[in-house]
Amino acid sequence: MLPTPDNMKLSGVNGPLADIGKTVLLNPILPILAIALPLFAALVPFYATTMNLQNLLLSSSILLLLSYGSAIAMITGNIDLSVEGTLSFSSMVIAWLMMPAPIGAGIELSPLACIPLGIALGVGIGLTNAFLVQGLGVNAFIVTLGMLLTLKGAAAIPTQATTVYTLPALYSWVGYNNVLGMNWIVIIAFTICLALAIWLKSSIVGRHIYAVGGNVEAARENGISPFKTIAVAYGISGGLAGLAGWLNAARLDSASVNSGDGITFTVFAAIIIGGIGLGGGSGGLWGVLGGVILLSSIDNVLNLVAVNPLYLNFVRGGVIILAILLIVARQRLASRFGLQEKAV
Amino acid sequence: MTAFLSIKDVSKSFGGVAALKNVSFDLAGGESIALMGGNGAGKSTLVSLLAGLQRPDSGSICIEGVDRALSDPQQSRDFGVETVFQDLALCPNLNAPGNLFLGRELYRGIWPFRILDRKEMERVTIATLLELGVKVPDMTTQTNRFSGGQRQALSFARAVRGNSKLLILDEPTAALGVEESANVVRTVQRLRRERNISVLLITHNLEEMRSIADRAVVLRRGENVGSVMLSETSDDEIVARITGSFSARAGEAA
Repeated sequence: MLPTPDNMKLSGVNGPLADIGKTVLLNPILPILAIALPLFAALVPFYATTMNLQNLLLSSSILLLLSYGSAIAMITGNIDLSVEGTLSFSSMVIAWLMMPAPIGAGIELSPLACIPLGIALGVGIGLTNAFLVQGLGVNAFIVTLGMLLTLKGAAAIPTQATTVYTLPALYSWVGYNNVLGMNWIVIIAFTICLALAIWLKSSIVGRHIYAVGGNVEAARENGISPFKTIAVAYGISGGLAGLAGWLNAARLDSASVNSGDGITFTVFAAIIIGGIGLGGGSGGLWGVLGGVILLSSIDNVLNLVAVNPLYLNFVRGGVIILAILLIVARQRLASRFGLQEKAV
Repeated sequence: MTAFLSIKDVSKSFGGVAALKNVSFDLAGGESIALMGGNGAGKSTLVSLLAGLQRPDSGSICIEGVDRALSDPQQSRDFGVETVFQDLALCPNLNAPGNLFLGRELYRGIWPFRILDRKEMERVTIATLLELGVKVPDMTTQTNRFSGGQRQALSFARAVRGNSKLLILDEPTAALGVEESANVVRTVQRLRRERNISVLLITHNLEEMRSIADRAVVLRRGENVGSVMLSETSDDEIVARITGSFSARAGEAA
């Protein structure tokens, strides 16, 4: 028989219903979103209003940038726990460079220079991670956890932990201006992330990222440099975190040592729920987008129904565990039906 | 015949262990050599040098008369040296075309807007596999769903696609069943006949050695202890050379 694409079989079951079943089972986040979002819209007042959706997108922008970066690092078979540190460190350094003394450095560097500088700082941190992980062969978990702690600590140094309010107008401009009812932060974050999702699936470097994550030895034996590929992944991850540092500070019009506190957990929840395999080489960024939308929606809903802040983390954690259980159940079901995960 | 591949005084050490000591031999165009030797004889090290994965500490590797300082697998491939690695070097998460074009993906468009040309890669993959007489179930399936024979065939197809001049086979049938092994042997024989391809075969199997190779180079503890024509050499002598009992018994310098 000639090989033909798409002759995947669901244990001999065919027809439109089976097709829907296949789609649902092969796309981890889809069924959850398909159930959760209409449910939220129906049960939670104000959820499905334009204003709330604008809010939802705005609050998911930062999470989206960080999750996309960490996801790309994870697809190479590594892990990047440092994005929260990069966000907070880059925004504090940049605020310090922009602000007049005594709180700033006194050089009052132009925001036009500071924005690319913040992103470059993130890329530099990412490349440092890559050098430690792949160049020196240190465990990625240890390296990036250490980097997280180091950067969270270092973020306090420039301004002596003082929160910087009222950043230069040019720097915060994106936080105050809209296009077609969309905040610039949303537009920047989503445009970049959607472009990345396409890039990862259809570019040569993107293919190499999957190859390195799938079998690093095979990649090397076929002339793909694991070091370069992993450096690209960590560089993107750091760059997106630097970008998130800017957008987050612009949104709040302030830079604080505590900015982004605890987002690491949400980032990894979004990645796992989005279907990125912990072992590397599997999953895609569209799924991560779904994971981000789901988690942001949950937070949004918890706010809308005014859950006692005391229980917020408890409920949030429980919901995430539930979502992950559903993902695992899906995987079991898919393999019971003999469904094959589609190749990259 | 001029030598296609000429290995001269190649040495390679790892830490204090000398994996290869001044190994030299030539391989003529269209010739097929079996590289024999026990475990730790240096066969795999030699393969990794030829594949461009590592560089020799000293000595030279000449391809078609020119000293090539191979430092990258891509270079080896550019000179027509293709390797089927013992681990097959497949990415389990990629499909057949993804693996066949691993590291040399086809693309459309100009930088920085190059995108993978999936259709063309799939077309060439199907054509290459058909030419080798291989049935592959599905072009979208991840290769971790392939059987051992299919995985072997895919790795093989990758190595013989295009204009490969030297095919390095590192224990190609070690993980295969009887029928699949026979297939590999038949395919190599056919490629030699039809395309005059040179082969460097690493194997422990004497029968396979005889059905593919013209000559055997025996490595022992990193040294070349004999380069013999198989038509003039008995299996016993090959084994004796591999185990190191040959020179003592025959009183002949290795």
